[in-house]
Amino acid sequence: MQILYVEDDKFDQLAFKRILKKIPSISVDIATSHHEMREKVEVNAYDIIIRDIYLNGEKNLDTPGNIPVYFTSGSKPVLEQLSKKSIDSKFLLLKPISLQDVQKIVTDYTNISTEPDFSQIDEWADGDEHFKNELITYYLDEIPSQIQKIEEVALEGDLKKLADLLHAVLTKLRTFGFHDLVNKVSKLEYDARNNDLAISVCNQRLEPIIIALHQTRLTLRTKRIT
Amino acid sequence: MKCIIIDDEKIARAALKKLCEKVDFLESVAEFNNPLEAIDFLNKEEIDLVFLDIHMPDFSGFDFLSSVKNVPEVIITTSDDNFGVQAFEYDVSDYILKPVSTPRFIKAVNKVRDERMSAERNEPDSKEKHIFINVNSRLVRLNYDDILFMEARGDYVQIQTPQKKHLVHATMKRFAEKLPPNRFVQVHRSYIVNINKIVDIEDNSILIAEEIIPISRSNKDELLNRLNTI
Repeated sequence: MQILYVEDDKFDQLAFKRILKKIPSISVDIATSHHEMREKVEVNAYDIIIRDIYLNGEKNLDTPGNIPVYFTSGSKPVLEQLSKKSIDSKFLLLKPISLQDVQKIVTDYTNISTEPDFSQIDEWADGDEHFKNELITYYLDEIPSQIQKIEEVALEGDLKKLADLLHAVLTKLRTFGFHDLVNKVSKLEYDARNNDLAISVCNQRLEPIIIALHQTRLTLRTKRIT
Repeated sequence: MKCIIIDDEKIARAALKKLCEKVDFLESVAEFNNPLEAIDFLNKEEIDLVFLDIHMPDFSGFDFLSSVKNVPEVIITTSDDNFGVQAFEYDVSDYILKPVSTPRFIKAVNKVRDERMSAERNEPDSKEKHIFINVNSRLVRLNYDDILFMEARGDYVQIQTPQKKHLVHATMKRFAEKLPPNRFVQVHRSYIVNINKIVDIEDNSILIAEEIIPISRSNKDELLNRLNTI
């Protein structure tokens, strides 16, 4: 997933890059002017543009091509005004952009919910929050290396191995009730194992899954009770 | 019942351990992320039940089941529903899909407990540690642990212990039926040996204490099957 962040304020650029570091599978490119945005869009395939409404003091609502654009502003009234001008409010972000904002954008892009359902863990725990925390910690410890292995095997193009690795991650996802992700991973595992899936198609389907897997980490970190 | 958990995933082990805590007749005594370490443990400790995952790197649950002799009761816990038939070929007690729900877990362990209780009722001698033999009109108690081997002597059977020999008017067949099969094995028409007393086996003979006992060709495979070999 590639994001073009159009912002002339260096502080906001830095803050945004810092947030994106938490979701390793997303790359971010920066443009500081309307002109630079146009140039970059012509040569790169961005999935999303997030852009400030006022660039170098000038208001500009230009949206190049068919790329989804999110508008940012530090002023609530400005955003409210835009909302009245038939721009869907989900594409309007009040600065400073938060991790939750980015997560929402990413979820819109992947179309995979990463909200956990703790009913299975609660059944085991019987109110033992320490046990619940312990399981979350194990998840946070183990999932990064599993994601890394999946990415490596996908690059090698070994579908059988990929199916095995996807299968290995499924139990965890089921345990934490990431139902949407379980659904997507199961289907890809099945197709990778049984169907003659082109590796390019497989990688295309894998990309939002990888992003969502990273997202599960962020979601679970906030659910830990300290 | 003493149980162990074999699973390469920490989350699965923690969940099973938690589930064991909910059942008063279960005691989880060890967990392993690697079946090979569990084999070493089983060679040293007496365990009633194993919770076993199938997909593990290097050494799978099925590799484990193929390698262990006298395996305890096994409940397969896996996220793969494709191996049920294969698993039951190994005579496992149950096959549960992960994540394991509490009701399903309790059903599985209750089944194991009930089967064990039923087996003990049907084989009242199976937990006995001794046998009484008739020597000169006297019933003499012999602990299984003290018996080295038995040898047919015409209408009699001679029982060899480290201290002495007992001559009993009986047949080898009668002893073969009476003795617990997990401890004793018939290695020859005229010999039954205590498996725990075997020092070594070479070609067609067994060394027990300082005695050499012949193994018949027809009994050799059965003997080797019963031994815990690598």
